[in-house]
Amino acid sequence: MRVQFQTSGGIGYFPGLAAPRTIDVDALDDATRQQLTTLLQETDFFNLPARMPSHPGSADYQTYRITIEDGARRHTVNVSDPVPLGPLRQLIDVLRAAAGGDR
Amino acid sequence: MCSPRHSIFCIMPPHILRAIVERGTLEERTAASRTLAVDATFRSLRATATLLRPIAPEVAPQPATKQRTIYTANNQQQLPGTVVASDKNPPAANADPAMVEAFNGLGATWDFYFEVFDRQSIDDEGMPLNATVHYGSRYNNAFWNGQQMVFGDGDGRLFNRFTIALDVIGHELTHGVTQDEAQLQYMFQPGALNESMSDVFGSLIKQRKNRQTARTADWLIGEGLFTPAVQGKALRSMKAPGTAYSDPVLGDDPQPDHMSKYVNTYDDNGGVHINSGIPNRAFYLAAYALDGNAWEKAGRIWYETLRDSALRPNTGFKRFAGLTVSAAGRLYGQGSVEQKSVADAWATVGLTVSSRLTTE
Repeated sequence: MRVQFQTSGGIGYFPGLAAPRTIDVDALDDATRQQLTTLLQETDFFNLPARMPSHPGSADYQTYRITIEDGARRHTVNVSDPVPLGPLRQLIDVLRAAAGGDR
Repeated sequence: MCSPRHSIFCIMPPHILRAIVERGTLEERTAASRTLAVDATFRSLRATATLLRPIAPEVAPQPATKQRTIYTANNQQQLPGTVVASDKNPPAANADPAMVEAFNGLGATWDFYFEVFDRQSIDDEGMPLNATVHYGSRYNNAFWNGQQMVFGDGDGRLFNRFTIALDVIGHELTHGVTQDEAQLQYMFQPGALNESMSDVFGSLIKQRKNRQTARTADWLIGEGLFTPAVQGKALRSMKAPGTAYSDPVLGDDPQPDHMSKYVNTYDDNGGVHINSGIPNRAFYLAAYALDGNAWEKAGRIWYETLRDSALRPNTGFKRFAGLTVSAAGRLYGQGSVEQKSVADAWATVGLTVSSRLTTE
């Protein structure tokens, strides 16, 4: 399984932080990989809508673009802050940490 | 739209309003020009419906007061979080810096809009101001969620806490003002104008607090946000877009300072924080040419433009530039120094405004 994670938007645009980061799930430690697998199931990731609208009138929010390839399946989800508490929020936190934070 | 504070202008025929625009005091001209602008928005329809209602018993007007509430998210991501300060329970000066900065920053922003533009809060109707600090863990951002301001602590490695810069607090709150007045779409050129409005008024709030004139201000946005590890001065420079930072981790400041360098991209909602450098510089150039306190003339012209019903949600740079020149003409006279300075500022960044607007 391969994951691509990109954070964009926010109060400024920083070219060095905007590049998508690829996470090789097989290279993650067992606990993180298990957590990721569980969260993908809990979010029903491959059936999430590709775009989740931001709040009307909101600005400077960060947007997360998550692409996951698992065998023949490939799906991309775009979601913006504030993401409600729940498995999708947890998934973003895990991916952000696995991608090395904000570098 | 007929504001209750200028109800006299609601019953005046257009030719008298135009005479006031030409010969009245600044306040009279401002109110009259606002009334002259034909307002076909839903807000206008609401106002008309209000006027048609039966007259209610007279109620004494409430004095304008701040209604600030600061919450903490306790490093979680649940909004709004737990109340930690309000105008009824203001924070001690030595309390949590993020809480104190948010409280005072909201206060300075509220004071600016009320004392400079006679505007009561975000919606001009006394809307309570809510802000949440300590959002998320090492969270590198501040944003407006459509209802309130939200501030992260920063990761301490690249970014300090996001309440540290008064202009950033003013920036976020101004997104609310823009949402109320113009609903500028948050993408491509309308989005860059939305961003520029927040930078313009965020900077003016800081300049007024620090008693700086257009020529003594540094025109940086978000100074103090970067840790010493970052090679940069601030998030953006209105005076010299593209020069705020050059850092191995963050990259190089991507803002253009001229239309010839306009960045076509789908990133960043179509470059809203990138191409805002062009209208930002136009504002700086106009303010610098007019000298003095930037909020008094250039700020007034931009504020009147923001309130102009001709400013539509999909307005691009060129149309916006024309609206500022028109507003300058209404406020200070056709062919005035103020109007010429605004037109020259736009021309310098590559946006020529039709001469019809400055001569008619």
